[in-house]
Amino acid sequence: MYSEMAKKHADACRFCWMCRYLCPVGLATGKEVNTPRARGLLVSLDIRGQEFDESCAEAMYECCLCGACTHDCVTGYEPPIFIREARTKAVVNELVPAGVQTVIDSVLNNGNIFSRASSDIKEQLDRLVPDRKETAEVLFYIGGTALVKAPHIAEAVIRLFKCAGIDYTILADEPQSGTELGDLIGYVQEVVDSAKQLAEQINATKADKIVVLDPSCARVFKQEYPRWGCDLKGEVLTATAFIAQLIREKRLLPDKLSIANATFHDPCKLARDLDEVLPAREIIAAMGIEIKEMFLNKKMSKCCGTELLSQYSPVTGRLIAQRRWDDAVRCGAEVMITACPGCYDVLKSNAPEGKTVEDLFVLLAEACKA
Amino acid sequence: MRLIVCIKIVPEFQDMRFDRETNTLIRENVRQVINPADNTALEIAVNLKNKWGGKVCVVSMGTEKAGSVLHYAAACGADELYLISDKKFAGSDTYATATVLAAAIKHLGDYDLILCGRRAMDGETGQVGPELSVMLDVPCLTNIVDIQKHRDDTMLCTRLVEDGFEETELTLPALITVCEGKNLTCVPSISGLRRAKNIPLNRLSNAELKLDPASVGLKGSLTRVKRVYSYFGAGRKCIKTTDPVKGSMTIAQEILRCRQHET
Amino acid sequence: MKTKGLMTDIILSELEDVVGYENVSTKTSERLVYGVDYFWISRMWADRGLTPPRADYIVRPGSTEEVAAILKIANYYRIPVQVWGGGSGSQGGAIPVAGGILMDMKRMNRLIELDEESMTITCETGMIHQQLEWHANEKGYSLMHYPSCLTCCTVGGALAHRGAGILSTKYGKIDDMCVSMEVVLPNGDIINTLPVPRHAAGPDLTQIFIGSEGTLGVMTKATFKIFEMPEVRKFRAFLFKDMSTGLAACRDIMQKLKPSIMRLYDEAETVSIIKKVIGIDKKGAFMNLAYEGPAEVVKIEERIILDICAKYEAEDLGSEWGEKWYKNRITFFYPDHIMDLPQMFGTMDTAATYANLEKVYWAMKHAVEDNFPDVRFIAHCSHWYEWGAMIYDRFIMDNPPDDPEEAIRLHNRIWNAGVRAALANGGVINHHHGVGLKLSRLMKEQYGPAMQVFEALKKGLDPHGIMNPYKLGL
Repeated sequence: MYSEMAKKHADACRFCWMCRYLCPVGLATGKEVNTPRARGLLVSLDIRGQEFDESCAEAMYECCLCGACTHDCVTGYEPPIFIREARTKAVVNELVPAGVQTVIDSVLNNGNIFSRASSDIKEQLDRLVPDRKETAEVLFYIGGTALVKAPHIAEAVIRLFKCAGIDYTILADEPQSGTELGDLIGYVQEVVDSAKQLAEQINATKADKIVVLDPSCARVFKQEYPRWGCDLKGEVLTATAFIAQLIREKRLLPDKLSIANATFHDPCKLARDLDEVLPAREIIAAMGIEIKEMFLNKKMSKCCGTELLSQYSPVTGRLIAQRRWDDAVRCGAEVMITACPGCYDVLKSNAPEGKTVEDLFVLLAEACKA
Repeated sequence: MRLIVCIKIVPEFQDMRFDRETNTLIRENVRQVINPADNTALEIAVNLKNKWGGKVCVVSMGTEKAGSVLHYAAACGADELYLISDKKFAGSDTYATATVLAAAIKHLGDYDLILCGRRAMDGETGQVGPELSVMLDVPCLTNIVDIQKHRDDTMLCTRLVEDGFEETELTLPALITVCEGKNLTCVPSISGLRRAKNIPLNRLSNAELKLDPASVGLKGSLTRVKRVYSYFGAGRKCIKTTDPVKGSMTIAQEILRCRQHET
Repeated sequence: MKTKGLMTDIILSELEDVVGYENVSTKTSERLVYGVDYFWISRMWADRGLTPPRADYIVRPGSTEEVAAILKIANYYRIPVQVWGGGSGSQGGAIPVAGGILMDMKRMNRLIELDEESMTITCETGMIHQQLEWHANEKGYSLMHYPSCLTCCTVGGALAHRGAGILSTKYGKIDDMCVSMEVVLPNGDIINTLPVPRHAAGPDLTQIFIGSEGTLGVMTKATFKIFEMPEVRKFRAFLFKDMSTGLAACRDIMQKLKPSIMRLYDEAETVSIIKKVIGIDKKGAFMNLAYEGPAEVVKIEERIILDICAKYEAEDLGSEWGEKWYKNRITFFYPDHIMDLPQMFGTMDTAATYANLEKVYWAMKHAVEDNFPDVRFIAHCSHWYEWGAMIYDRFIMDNPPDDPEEAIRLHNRIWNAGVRAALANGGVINHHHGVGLKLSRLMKEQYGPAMQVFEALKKGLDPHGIMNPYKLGL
């Protein structure tokens, strides 16, 4: 069932304790089973014929796939490789926990993880861009999380586009990018097939640039699509990188905002996978906001718990988010600035009393009076 | 259609490291994978099956270790798996390998098309496919990039040739060798993996094939590898300088020095 | 794989009542992962696909009071309790070989206080050591406890096994760093050791529990010293012509100064691991050291160290190798860098006075190499005192027996030979990894009649013998 790649990585991780101090799940729950080595151990024991039951499958889903372990590994092993394949195994053998199955079904049927009807998504897209063009220089890919949980972030970006005079469009019904489905069932043909469909639709817009709001979607576009044989014609850019460039080119001229005691939470996918920590800080600096850095920042950022995990494991999700808030509070922050719709929603839902979350683009739209 | 795909399990080249001190390949921690061209052959066979119906039967000669890799072939659409394994076959060169494969394919009964990769990542001989076609007495077309059904017993094949592509009709039964395609590894589907759970790995040994031990393994091999050696390029010599005048002088001197050396 | 039965469920519900439903588990996944710690035997067992030893209940307390309540239940039903921190111990101390309850302490990971006046930090013992270090770092301080397991062991685990970090020569072992602690006794009573570590109020209560490996109670909170970050930390490496010369030089240095790091490698380790990870390709005894503190003091220390090493005709390798070692100090422990299955290996760390140090080294080397021809022996000294030092001896066997039981027996024979050679020559059973299951049988040999002191403590505090059975020879 496991690929040779997964076996190799699981066998390396099963007896290595080194990265657990960074695992946001293990630190929040205190469970040994929530450490990268435990996940590797369970997979390696499975390969050697020990029992792999529902509880083992559940252990594989109690992981944010945030990549902190991978980033830490001196040798270059990647627990997400075998964790994704173990999830595939769980799906194949029908061992998926009920909560996770609901989310999988929702992605397959509705294209989002929130059990929201696809017609709602379409309505939201129509509302955001009523006069949608078929082709444009820039395609703006919003992602299901922003569309369902934080449409005002997408709205802010669109206002910024208008302000800077960008020729942009969006897709009529934005099929899912495969980031969540790939995390839920592993990188199987079904995920590749849906990615191919989306790639075709994106290419039909003839856009030179594909600006992606959700860092998770940007990551699969940039890193997995080429491997899956999905050819995106336009250049994929994260919204942070694209907007920071507009500021550099003076196409956006933000005023100063007065926000004291703010910190910036680096989204895992942006910082670790896409190696992007500066554009967001540039945007914040352009608004005259001084940030207090959390101890774990940039590539060492600690995961907020992710929207996906919070959907099927709300209790664990909350514990993880609270831990990230502890970090912010310890550095003296009152306001957490985020650059990812998922982080925004998760951190906002778990904010301690008196603390607030602000989205980078929403602040910028305000600063630009867009 | 009954399609037979011959698969070789090879070490993953990404994992390969070379010990320059001992001049040997470091074999520890190296994954075993389906040879890339064989993988494409499997993909083509599965596509043909999906379009025209029939069965894809995978045949591989190797050790027990190959079993879990072959499982992936089933997940990607193969219907029958055969692992040919026998100590007597150890050390076979391409000719002896083709002898064993030919016997195994005869043992498995009728077929319409045999698909092989055009070469293996490790040996790079490209001989087994053509040898096999001679032994089975079927026509062979090499370097195939695409194949479609033409009429009942003929296929339309696109071959890679020196200056382009060539379309050729091929009468079945026949054997083709396939070029490496875009997808070098197969991505299984959930349904494929579920299906694969019920596909057993059949084992064949010389007990079934009944080959003369002198015709296989080291004894049956016509060739011997005398020496394997690697060539390492001389390596670039880098001199870093920030002064353009000084830099251009250095380059000029170096060129002069090399010219003198040549003459 | 679940244990079923009327009493099983009754006890389960009592435990759930204490810590909450979500903090007790009998799941397959959890029972499997607690069966494998860093002990070679437990890893080999799992590598061969054998079922690891399993606890019946995994319990995760969230407070000292919950620990106390769990111990009361365990005492009532006479159920073994094994305490688990990070599971990164190499001695098998945490494996639930007796079944019963496994108490994972990692939920108890709160910072309680950072006292900048007294320069102490207090936390719950389930905290990963690196997290505690980061809490100190956030305020500009450090605990100066940097063991190789910094990122994976818990505070409690370090205390339970009397751990040591790489800077121990200057800042001490964990037993020197701990100021005071809170302990839950096996009967559920919660006690505190004295608020300061130096006093004349009888024997040292704190030191009784440090190193007790979960056999005498459960440490729940601990207070440690913190230090200001040194103004400078400088590195230097030397090559001595052999181990003996290196030892003499190091002893000389220890009489005059306190370097923070001083590591002297025998030739076997210099040409193997040091070569592989740091890339230095020289024969002899490699030594790297660090000295730190206010810049002016460090300057003087450096001069003295250079003089001493010159006296012993050491080749001065400059600062590069020492820095390189420091940067790579935990690289050694990542996969593909350190010994791993299928190899058999073990670390027989011991300590001895200078008078016995070399004798112990040679005795252990001969005991291992002469009796077990396929086994390699490498060593270094990396924790130094005014009176002696620790020897970090390791044995490595590339092709251990395939049969797991035969492998265990051979493993134990090698250990017996090595440790007995140490004991016979003035060494001790262990310096900073602990005893655990691995060396339990040798405790009585080490202590002789003195063992009755520990046995009396055990009997008095844990009359039903529920706390971590078969470990520490108790």
